[in-house]
Amino acid sequence: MDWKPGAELPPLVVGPMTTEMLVRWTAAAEDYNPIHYDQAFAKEQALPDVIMHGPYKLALLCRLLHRELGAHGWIRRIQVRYTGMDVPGDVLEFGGRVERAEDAGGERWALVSLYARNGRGATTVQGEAEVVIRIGESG
Amino acid sequence: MSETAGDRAREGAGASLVPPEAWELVGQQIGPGNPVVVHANEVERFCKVIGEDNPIFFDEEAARASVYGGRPMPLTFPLTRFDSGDERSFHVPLHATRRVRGEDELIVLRPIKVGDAVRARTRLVDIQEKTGRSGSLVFLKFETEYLLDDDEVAMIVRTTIVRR
Repeated sequence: MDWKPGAELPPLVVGPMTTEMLVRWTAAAEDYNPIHYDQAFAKEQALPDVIMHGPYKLALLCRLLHRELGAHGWIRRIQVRYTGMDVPGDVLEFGGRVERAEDAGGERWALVSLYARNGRGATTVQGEAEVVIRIGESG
Repeated sequence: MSETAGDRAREGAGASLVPPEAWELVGQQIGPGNPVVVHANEVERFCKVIGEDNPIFFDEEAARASVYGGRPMPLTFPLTRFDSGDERSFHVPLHATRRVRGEDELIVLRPIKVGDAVRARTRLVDIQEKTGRSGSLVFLKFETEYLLDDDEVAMIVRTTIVRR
Protein backbone atom coordinates (compact mmCIF):
# COMPACT_ATOMS: atom_id res chain seq x y z
CA MET A 1 0.00 0.00 0.00
CA ASP A 2 0.89 3.64 -0.35
CA TRP A 3 1.79 5.14 3.02
CA LYS A 4 0.24 8.53 2.27
CA PRO A 5 -2.13 10.56 4.44
CA GLY A 6 -5.68 9.34 4.01
CA ALA A 7 -4.70 5.84 2.84
CA GLU A 8 -6.75 3.16 4.60
CA LEU A 9 -5.30 -0.19 5.61
CA PRO A 10 -7.55 -2.92 4.17
CA PRO A 11 -9.26 -4.30 7.29
CA LEU A 12 -8.27 -7.61 8.84
CA VAL A 13 -11.29 -9.64 9.96
CA VAL A 14 -10.83 -12.28 12.66
CA GLY A 15 -13.49 -14.54 14.12
CA PRO A 16 -16.00 -15.47 15.21
CA MET A 17 -13.82 -15.70 18.30
CA THR A 18 -13.99 -18.95 20.25
CA THR A 19 -12.94 -19.93 23.75
CA GLU A 20 -10.44 -22.26 22.09
CA MET A 21 -8.77 -19.28 20.39
CA LEU A 22 -8.50 -17.54 23.76
CA VAL A 23 -7.00 -20.67 25.34
CA ARG A 24 -4.48 -20.95 22.51
CA TRP A 25 -3.42 -17.33 23.07
CA THR A 26 -3.31 -17.92 26.83
CA ALA A 27 -0.81 -20.74 26.30
CA ALA A 28 1.24 -19.15 23.52
CA ALA A 29 1.59 -15.82 25.34
CA GLU A 30 1.61 -17.28 28.88
CA ASP A 31 -1.17 -14.83 29.69
CA TYR A 32 -2.89 -16.71 32.51
CA ASN A 33 -5.52 -14.40 34.05
CA PRO A 34 -8.53 -16.80 34.36
CA ILE A 35 -10.98 -14.13 33.15
CA HIS A 36 -9.80 -15.20 29.68
CA TYR A 37 -10.51 -18.94 29.85
CA ASP A 38 -12.56 -19.83 32.94
CA GLN A 39 -16.18 -18.86 32.33
CA ALA A 40 -17.35 -19.49 35.91
CA PHE A 41 -14.52 -17.28 37.22
CA ALA A 42 -15.30 -14.58 34.65
CA LYS A 43 -18.97 -14.52 35.63
CA GLU A 44 -18.07 -14.27 39.33
CA GLN A 45 -16.15 -11.12 38.35
CA ALA A 46 -19.38 -9.74 36.81
CA LEU A 47 -18.09 -10.20 33.27
CA PRO A 48 -20.50 -11.32 30.55
CA ASP A 49 -18.29 -14.28 29.54
CA VAL A 50 -14.59 -15.02 29.18
CA ILE A 51 -13.10 -11.94 27.55
CA MET A 52 -10.47 -11.56 24.89
CA HIS A 53 -6.99 -10.51 26.08
CA GLY A 54 -5.99 -6.93 25.34
CA PRO A 55 -2.51 -7.95 24.12
CA TYR A 56 -4.14 -10.50 21.76
CA LYS A 57 -5.96 -7.63 20.06
CA LEU A 58 -2.74 -5.61 20.08
CA ALA A 59 -0.97 -8.56 18.43
CA LEU A 60 -3.65 -8.65 15.72
CA LEU A 61 -3.16 -4.92 15.06
CA CYS A 62 0.57 -5.63 14.71
CA ARG A 63 -0.30 -8.43 12.26
CA LEU A 64 -2.38 -5.95 10.23
CA LEU A 65 0.57 -3.53 10.09
CA HIS A 66 3.09 -6.28 9.24
CA ARG A 67 0.86 -7.47 6.40
CA GLU A 68 1.20 -4.03 4.81
CA LEU A 69 4.82 -3.40 5.81
CA GLY A 70 6.00 -6.69 4.32
CA ALA A 71 9.79 -6.94 4.53
CA HIS A 72 10.36 -3.21 3.99
CA GLY A 73 9.13 -1.53 7.12
CA TRP A 74 8.95 -1.84 10.87
CA ILE A 75 6.79 -0.68 13.75
CA ARG A 76 8.59 1.96 15.78
CA ARG A 77 5.79 2.63 18.27
CA ILE A 78 2.28 1.33 18.83
CA GLN A 79 -0.09 2.65 21.47
CA VAL A 80 -3.56 1.32 22.25
CA ARG A 81 -6.41 1.86 24.69
CA TYR A 82 -8.66 -1.11 25.38
CA THR A 83 -12.06 0.56 25.27
CA GLY A 84 -14.35 -2.45 25.37
CA MET A 85 -14.67 -6.17 25.84
CA ASP A 86 -14.84 -8.85 23.17
CA VAL A 87 -16.27 -12.27 23.94
CA PRO A 88 -16.60 -15.62 22.14
CA GLY A 89 -18.91 -15.23 19.16
CA ASP A 90 -17.64 -11.75 18.30
CA VAL A 91 -16.22 -11.11 14.85
CA LEU A 92 -13.50 -8.49 15.03
CA GLU A 93 -12.41 -6.03 12.39
CA PHE A 94 -8.97 -4.44 12.72
CA GLY A 95 -8.22 -1.41 10.61
CA GLY A 96 -6.38 1.85 10.33
CA ARG A 97 -5.64 4.94 8.33
CA VAL A 98 -2.48 6.89 7.57
CA GLU A 99 -2.80 10.25 9.29
CA ARG A 100 0.61 11.81 8.57
CA ALA A 101 3.74 10.93 6.65
CA GLU A 102 7.19 12.44 6.28
CA ASP A 103 10.22 11.42 4.24
CA ALA A 104 13.75 11.76 5.52
CA GLY A 105 17.05 9.98 4.93
CA GLY A 106 15.68 7.40 2.49
CA GLU A 107 12.86 6.42 4.83
CA ARG A 108 9.23 7.29 5.16
CA TRP A 109 7.78 7.79 8.62
CA ALA A 110 4.01 7.41 8.92
CA LEU A 111 1.55 7.88 11.74
CA VAL A 112 -1.36 5.45 11.47
CA SER A 113 -4.58 5.57 13.50
CA LEU A 114 -5.84 2.13 14.51
CA TYR A 115 -9.05 0.52 15.71
CA ALA A 116 -10.65 -2.80 16.51
CA ARG A 117 -14.41 -3.08 16.20
CA ASN A 118 -16.69 -6.02 16.88
CA GLY A 119 -19.85 -7.14 15.13
CA ARG A 120 -21.98 -5.63 17.88
CA GLY A 121 -20.78 -2.21 16.75
CA ALA A 122 -18.45 -1.56 19.69
CA THR A 123 -15.01 -0.09 19.15
CA THR A 124 -12.95 -2.10 21.59
CA VAL A 125 -9.46 -0.83 20.79
CA GLN A 126 -8.39 2.66 19.75
CA GLY A 127 -4.81 3.53 19.07
CA GLU A 128 -2.06 4.67 16.79
CA ALA A 129 1.26 3.49 15.46
CA GLU A 130 4.39 5.00 14.00
CA VAL A 131 5.91 2.95 11.23
CA VAL A 132 9.10 3.42 9.20
CA ILE A 133 9.31 2.21 5.62
CA ARG A 134 12.29 2.11 3.28
CA ILE A 135 11.39 4.45 0.43
CA GLY A 136 11.00 2.82 -2.97
CA GLU A 137 10.40 -0.63 -1.50
CA SER A 138 6.94 -0.42 0.01
CA GLY A 139 3.97 -1.97 -1.67
CA MET B 1 -27.57 20.30 55.04
CA SER B 2 -27.60 18.20 51.91
CA GLU B 3 -24.71 15.97 50.89
CA THR B 4 -22.30 17.67 48.50
CA ALA B 5 -19.95 16.23 45.92
CA GLY B 6 -17.14 17.14 48.31
CA ASP B 7 -18.69 15.07 51.08
CA ARG B 8 -19.03 12.13 48.75
CA ALA B 9 -15.43 12.52 47.59
CA ARG B 10 -14.20 12.50 51.21
CA GLU B 11 -16.36 9.51 51.94
CA GLY B 12 -14.90 7.82 48.84
CA ALA B 13 -11.40 8.67 49.99
CA GLY B 14 -12.19 6.97 53.30
CA ALA B 15 -12.93 3.81 51.37
CA SER B 16 -9.78 4.05 49.27
CA LEU B 17 -8.63 0.89 47.55
CA VAL B 18 -5.05 2.12 47.86
CA PRO B 19 -3.39 1.61 51.26
CA PRO B 20 -0.46 3.84 52.31
CA GLU B 21 2.09 1.09 51.60
CA ALA B 22 0.95 1.05 47.95
CA TRP B 23 1.52 4.80 47.47
CA GLU B 24 5.04 4.31 48.82
CA LEU B 25 5.85 2.04 45.88
CA VAL B 26 5.40 4.82 43.31
CA GLY B 27 8.75 5.43 41.66
CA GLN B 28 10.16 2.08 42.72
CA GLN B 29 11.68 -0.38 40.31
CA ILE B 30 11.96 -4.16 40.23
CA GLY B 31 14.36 -6.24 38.15
CA PRO B 32 16.03 -6.84 35.85
CA GLY B 33 14.65 -10.33 36.41
CA ASN B 34 15.41 -13.70 34.87
CA PRO B 35 16.16 -13.69 31.15
CA VAL B 36 13.77 -15.06 28.58
CA VAL B 37 15.40 -16.42 25.45
CA VAL B 38 13.44 -15.71 22.28
CA HIS B 39 13.30 -19.27 20.92
CA ALA B 40 12.43 -19.76 17.25
CA ASN B 41 9.87 -22.49 17.94
CA GLU B 42 8.01 -20.36 20.49
CA VAL B 43 7.94 -17.42 18.10
CA GLU B 44 6.57 -19.70 15.38
CA ARG B 45 3.87 -21.05 17.69
CA PHE B 46 2.99 -17.53 18.78
CA CYS B 47 2.73 -16.38 15.15
CA LYS B 48 0.53 -19.34 14.23
CA VAL B 49 -1.87 -18.55 17.07
CA ILE B 50 -2.38 -14.99 15.83
CA GLY B 51 -2.43 -16.02 12.16
CA GLU B 52 0.74 -14.04 11.44
CA ASP B 53 2.18 -15.27 8.14
CA ASN B 54 4.72 -12.61 7.20
CA PRO B 55 7.81 -14.62 6.09
CA ILE B 56 10.11 -12.37 8.16
CA PHE B 57 8.94 -14.34 11.22
CA PHE B 58 9.42 -17.81 9.72
CA ASP B 59 11.97 -17.72 6.92
CA GLU B 60 15.57 -16.96 7.87
CA GLU B 61 16.49 -15.92 4.32
CA ALA B 62 13.50 -13.62 3.88
CA ALA B 63 14.25 -12.14 7.29
CA ARG B 64 17.90 -11.50 6.44
CA ALA B 65 16.85 -9.64 3.28
CA SER B 66 14.31 -7.56 5.23
CA VAL B 67 14.82 -4.27 7.08
CA TYR B 68 15.38 -6.37 10.21
CA GLY B 69 18.36 -8.32 8.88
CA GLY B 70 17.18 -11.37 10.86
CA ARG B 71 14.02 -12.93 12.30
CA PRO B 72 12.36 -10.35 14.55
CA MET B 73 10.50 -11.10 17.75
CA PRO B 74 6.79 -10.20 17.47
CA LEU B 75 6.39 -7.05 19.57
CA THR B 76 3.71 -8.50 21.81
CA PHE B 77 5.62 -11.75 22.41
CA PRO B 78 7.25 -10.71 25.73
CA LEU B 79 4.36 -8.78 27.31
CA THR B 80 3.02 -11.52 29.56
CA ARG B 81 5.86 -14.03 29.46
CA PHE B 82 8.30 -13.10 32.22
CA ASP B 83 8.39 -14.74 35.66
CA SER B 84 10.23 -11.78 37.19
CA GLY B 85 11.04 -8.17 36.47
CA ASP B 86 7.88 -7.37 34.54
CA GLU B 87 4.66 -5.56 35.39
CA ARG B 88 2.92 -8.78 36.49
CA SER B 89 5.73 -9.46 38.96
CA PHE B 90 5.34 -6.02 40.54
CA HIS B 91 3.08 -6.67 43.52
CA VAL B 92 1.12 -3.58 44.52
CA PRO B 93 -1.02 -4.27 47.63
CA LEU B 94 -4.53 -2.98 46.91
CA HIS B 95 -8.00 -3.63 48.33
CA ALA B 96 -9.05 -4.86 44.90
CA THR B 97 -9.83 -8.23 43.39
CA ARG B 98 -10.33 -7.41 39.71
CA ARG B 99 -7.70 -6.61 37.17
CA VAL B 100 -7.88 -5.63 33.50
CA ARG B 101 -5.44 -4.04 31.12
CA GLY B 102 -6.35 -0.48 30.18
CA GLU B 103 -3.62 0.72 27.84
CA ASP B 104 -0.37 -0.36 26.26
CA GLU B 105 2.30 1.62 24.48
CA LEU B 106 5.27 -0.19 22.93
CA ILE B 107 8.30 1.82 21.85
CA VAL B 108 10.93 0.00 19.83
CA LEU B 109 14.46 1.31 20.17
CA ARG B 110 16.17 -1.67 18.57
CA PRO B 111 14.33 -4.70 17.17
CA ILE B 112 14.70 -7.80 19.35
CA LYS B 113 15.44 -10.93 17.33
CA VAL B 114 15.19 -14.69 17.61
CA GLY B 115 18.06 -15.95 19.74
CA ASP B 116 18.26 -12.83 21.90
CA ALA B 117 18.12 -13.16 25.69
CA VAL B 118 15.89 -10.48 27.14
CA ARG B 119 15.46 -9.26 30.70
CA ALA B 120 12.75 -6.98 32.02
CA ARG B 121 12.81 -4.27 34.64
CA THR B 122 9.73 -2.34 35.69
CA ARG B 123 9.03 0.92 37.45
CA LEU B 124 5.69 1.82 38.98
CA VAL B 125 5.30 5.29 37.49
CA ASP B 126 2.02 6.37 39.02
CA ILE B 127 -1.11 5.34 40.87
CA GLN B 128 -4.39 7.16 40.27
CA GLU B 129 -7.64 6.43 42.02
CA LYS B 130 -10.86 7.61 40.43
CA THR B 131 -14.39 7.23 41.72
CA GLY B 132 -17.07 6.52 39.18
CA ARG B 133 -20.66 5.29 39.29
CA SER B 134 -19.59 1.70 39.82
CA GLY B 135 -17.18 2.59 42.65
CA SER B 136 -13.47 3.24 42.82
CA LEU B 137 -11.05 2.34 40.08
CA VAL B 138 -7.30 2.28 40.54
CA PHE B 139 -5.05 2.96 37.55
CA LEU B 140 -1.54 1.58 37.92
CA LYS B 141 0.92 2.97 35.39
CA PHE B 142 4.00 0.85 34.78
CA GLU B 143 6.99 1.31 32.55
CA THR B 144 8.85 -1.86 31.62
CA GLU B 145 12.20 -1.78 29.88
CA TYR B 146 13.35 -4.85 27.96
CA LEU B 147 17.12 -5.19 28.00
CA LEU B 148 19.45 -7.20 25.81
CA ASP B 149 22.69 -8.88 26.95
CA ASP B 150 24.69 -5.67 26.69
CA ASP B 151 22.18 -3.92 29.01
CA GLU B 152 20.94 -1.87 26.09
CA VAL B 153 17.23 -1.04 26.34
CA ALA B 154 15.66 -2.49 23.21
CA MET B 155 11.99 -1.84 23.94
CA ILE B 156 9.95 0.21 26.39
CA VAL B 157 6.39 -0.79 27.28
CA ARG B 158 4.08 1.57 29.15
CA THR B 159 1.09 -0.27 30.56
CA THR B 160 -1.93 0.90 32.49
CA ILE B 161 -3.54 -1.77 34.65
CA VAL B 162 -7.02 -1.06 36.02
CA ARG B 163 -7.90 -2.59 39.40
CA ARG B 164 -11.14 -2.54 41.32
